[in-house]
Amino acid sequence: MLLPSFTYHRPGGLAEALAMLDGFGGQAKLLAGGTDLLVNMKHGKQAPAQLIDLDGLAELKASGSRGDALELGAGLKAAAIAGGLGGAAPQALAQGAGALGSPQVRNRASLGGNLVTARPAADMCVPLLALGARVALVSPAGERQVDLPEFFLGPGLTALHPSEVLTRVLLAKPRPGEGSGYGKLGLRKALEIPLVNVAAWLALEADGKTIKEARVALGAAAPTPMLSPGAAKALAGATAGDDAFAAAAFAAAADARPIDDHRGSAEYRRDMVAALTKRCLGQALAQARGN
Amino acid sequence: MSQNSEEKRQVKTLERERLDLGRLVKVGEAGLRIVGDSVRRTDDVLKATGKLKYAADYPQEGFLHGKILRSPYPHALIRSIDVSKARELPGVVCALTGGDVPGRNGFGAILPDQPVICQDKVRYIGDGVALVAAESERIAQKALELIRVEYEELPAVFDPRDALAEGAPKIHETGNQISLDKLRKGDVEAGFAQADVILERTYQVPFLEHAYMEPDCCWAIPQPDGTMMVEGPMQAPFAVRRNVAPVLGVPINMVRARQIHMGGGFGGKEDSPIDLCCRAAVLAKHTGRPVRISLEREEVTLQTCKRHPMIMELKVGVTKDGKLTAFKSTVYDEQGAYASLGPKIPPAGGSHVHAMVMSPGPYEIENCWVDAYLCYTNHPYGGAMRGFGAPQVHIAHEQMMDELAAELGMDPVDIRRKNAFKLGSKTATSQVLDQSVGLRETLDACEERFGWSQRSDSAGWVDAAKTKRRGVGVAMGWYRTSIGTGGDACGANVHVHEDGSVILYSGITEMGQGAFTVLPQICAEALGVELEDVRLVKPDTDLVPESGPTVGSRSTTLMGNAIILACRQVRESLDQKAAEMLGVEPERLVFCGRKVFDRDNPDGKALEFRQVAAAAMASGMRLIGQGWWAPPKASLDPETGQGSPYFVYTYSTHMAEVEVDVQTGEVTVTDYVAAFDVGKAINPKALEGQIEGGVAMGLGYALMEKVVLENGMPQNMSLQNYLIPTMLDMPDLKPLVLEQTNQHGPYGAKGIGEMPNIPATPAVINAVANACGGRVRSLPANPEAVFWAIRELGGPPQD
Ligand SMILES: Cc1cc2nc3c(=O)[nH]c(=O)nc-3n(C[C@H](O)[C@H](O)[C@H](O)COP(=O)(O)OP(=O)(O)OC[C@H]3O[C@@H](n4cnc5c(N)ncnc54)[C@H](O)[C@@H]3O)c2cc1C
Repeated sequence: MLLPSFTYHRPGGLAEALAMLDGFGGQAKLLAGGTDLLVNMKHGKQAPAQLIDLDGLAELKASGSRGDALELGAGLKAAAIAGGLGGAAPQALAQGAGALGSPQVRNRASLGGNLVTARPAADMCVPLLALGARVALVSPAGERQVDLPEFFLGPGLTALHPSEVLTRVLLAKPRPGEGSGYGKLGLRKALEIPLVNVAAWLALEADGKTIKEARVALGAAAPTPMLSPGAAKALAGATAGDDAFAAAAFAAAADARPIDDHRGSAEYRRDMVAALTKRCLGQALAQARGN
Repeated sequence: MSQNSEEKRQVKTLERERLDLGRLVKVGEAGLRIVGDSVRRTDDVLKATGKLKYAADYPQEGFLHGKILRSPYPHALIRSIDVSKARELPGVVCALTGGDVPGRNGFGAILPDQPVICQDKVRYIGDGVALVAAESERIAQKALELIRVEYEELPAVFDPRDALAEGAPKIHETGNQISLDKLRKGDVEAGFAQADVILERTYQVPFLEHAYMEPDCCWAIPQPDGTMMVEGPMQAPFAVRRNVAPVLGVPINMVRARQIHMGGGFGGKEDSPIDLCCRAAVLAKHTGRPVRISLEREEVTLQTCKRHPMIMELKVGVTKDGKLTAFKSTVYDEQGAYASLGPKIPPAGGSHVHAMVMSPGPYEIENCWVDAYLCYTNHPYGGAMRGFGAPQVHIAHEQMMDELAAELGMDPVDIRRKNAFKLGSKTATSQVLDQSVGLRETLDACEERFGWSQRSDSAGWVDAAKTKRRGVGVAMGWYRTSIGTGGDACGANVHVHEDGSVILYSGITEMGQGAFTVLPQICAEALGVELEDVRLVKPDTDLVPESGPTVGSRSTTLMGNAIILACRQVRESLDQKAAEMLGVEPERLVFCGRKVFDRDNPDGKALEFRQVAAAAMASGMRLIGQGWWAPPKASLDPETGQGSPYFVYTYSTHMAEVEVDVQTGEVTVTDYVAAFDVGKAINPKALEGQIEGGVAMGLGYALMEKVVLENGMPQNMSLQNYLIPTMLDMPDLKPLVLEQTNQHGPYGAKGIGEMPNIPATPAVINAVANACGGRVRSLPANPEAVFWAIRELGGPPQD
């Protein structure tokens, strides 16, 4: 299959990109790494007449902290995030980015592209959800910030407006006493869309035992990446450890709404949500305790 | 290839069983220089620099583009087809239906039962009902959308057992059962009476996709003299020519087939180029213009052959001390919609009969009974795929060996050693193995290198948290060299020129396996020149002698012999001339490294090879050789399945170590040793490549591969969801190469292409069962299947 024809644009800065996007009025698509968009275009699922390449925009590639917040540019590549961003990337996110595709794909795939494609089991979306991330959406009219649970609307469907660019992902900076973890289940060890994936984040009280707050995010368990309210409830205030994690796993499996398809049965996927939830919480706890 | 592979690979020549090596092979006569050396592939620089052209890289100017309209139904009558709208589309040059095929409207590797363009009926989703040729691929694709076909759906059959039932919808006029083949040796009931333990088990394997990297592509170019030239990646140019000619209604000499370097074939490109070339040729004939057909990955999945699925019901008896007494099996071998390479070519050609012959395994068993059904269904069709019926039956007998061993409380290695073939053993077809039987040696070598006994002792929990268990598995295998038909033979031409350079003409194709390196190696060795003196003429039916297909692990052995015979013819002239020039008897001459000298006086006067060639040519002597080699005659009684179907076998033992995540069912293959008796390794490194690739394919078969079909429709059509192993899924593989000379092989060689794939699957499955207790008898053993197998046991073993 050949790519349909299109006109390629390379804006010099974000403002120019936004102006172009506005000017083409729905005819244009933003291009980052192209690992979703170009594949879709080859398959005839999308046929934009104009492509605006964001890959050259330094503004989208920065990462850094501002106060308590950590800001990650939407143009950051999975490979860079997997490398840890000099220690800044939360553990679950680095793990997710490292599990995405293959080295070649990770060198192209961007954070923003992964979020906007919004696959139910996307390798960066699920960790970001557990980490309580928000996204910054910029249009000529200004910037708005949206929490991820409100951002994901369905498979491939997000709250992003056609005139907006996703510029940054905002997270709370990891602090001592907090930790996160990620787990992915597939049929093989690379280039595999997860059958089930789970990310967990938790923060401990000063006693180093009691869970202050926790989030468990599930992939391939619903039409969008989802948070498990049951798991969060089971964990808050509980003593960190096997019993609490088992209860959270049970609750997460109950919250999951996986489907039956040729890749796996719903029943198995549900069991796997529980198994991975326990493991991710274990990783998160180990990190929170500094080991 | 793995790191430090030079170090890891071990090649060991075994003590020869017999030293009278027949007329062909004179091993040790002169020290081998080029044969046995891991010379670099002749195409590696081209491949590594991207200069090698695959079919899709060829220029397309002047070509029309062919497209195939495929049936959306697995089984239906065609009520009407209207192509008029498609014909009107600007850029469309022709749109053809069944009536437009100039000659026979049928092709097939064995039986021409597959229509070039279906006229009245479709038998699987993917059957071609109309062909279009247009100025661009886009226009051709558009034109397909304008064709109106009215179908009347028929009830479809998707299970071979249903296809055999009375009153089942008839897929072909000849009935759904293509054949029931039988093997009868001894008295199987008497054998069960001697048994202390009898187990009955059913094993099942799905359709598999070859997943060759290069999707099919071919073209047909009408020549000014009326010849039709077809080109493309193809494993069997002569089979392509044999089909294109009758489809066009012309004699065979009016078709020319040329092979283009293949990006993988694995047996699949024995069939698919027949299909594509026939269709491209029909379009080229109609338009008088070159026509190219290139398939998308999804089209490859829809249209081309797969590995046959099988249901294998086994009943096997064994004594307390592990001696097999009786083997009984009923095999339902699903052919799918068309016959392809399934049916028998007497005496023992065709994948089905091959599966039957191999099904009791490489073991001495007095009493064997097999009923093997081959039947049509409305699924895609089964063809050749690396092992040709053998991988399936090995998955059954090798699991059964482990299940019997477990029942007896015996070590899986011991039960195999007790029954394995040795020199003089009688197979299930009562063939006496009278030479080159290195099976037990592969078991011994594997056991030692792998450290079987220590490793099996340390099987069990890997981690304190008890999430993972380790286990080990063993499997043995055997595989024929050659294809067991009456007509299996290879021809080669060798031309020596006055400057000492050589041209080798061979019809054996290159698909990555290294034929274009190994065959010139044999030629250079046989003539006593350097490898770079030999230029290979690529398969072209106008230039090279009939060589048969590049399949059945036959190429190095059969073509190697033909090359040696061709070289011998040339050597007669060279020997005579050199004897004159050196003044010694021809018997004392040694041709080696471009030098010719007296065996008894190696430091004396030496001639240059080119001097001798020039002198021979100047005196009008023949420097053109034609070699023709056919294996010893094959036999197989059609009623009892008794006889000697294949003239020699390669033997192998594999051992795998795995870790099973008992909470998720995920399997990681952590270590692997594979030992082979290959007769002679002509190029050990190329051979290692075959081993690594073959094991990877076998591992995929075990753990992840399956074409998922729903109502005849493949659900995983691209490599995004038809998963094959990646580098990360591969264990550290240690190949062991043993050489138990084949008296009928060039320098003692026998086939290796398919063998590595065969025991790999059951070795991994057996290791999984050893690790977690759960046995997956219906493949693949993907995480979910392993998870449920553990659940079925009530959880993993606790020790
Ligand atoms: C072989 C292969 C393997 C893969 N494996 C995985 C995997 O294991 N896990 C996984 O999660 N994904 C996988 N993917 C999918 C893909 O790589 C990821 O989703 C990737 O993160 C997409 O990023 P991109 O930069 O390539 O996006 P693009 O394809 O460039 O864009 C994707 C979409 O996002 C939009 N977009 C991009 N950037 C912005 C922005 N800043 N603002 C607004 N809109 C934007 C585009 O307009 C487009 O609609 C795989 C893809 C391939 C081809």
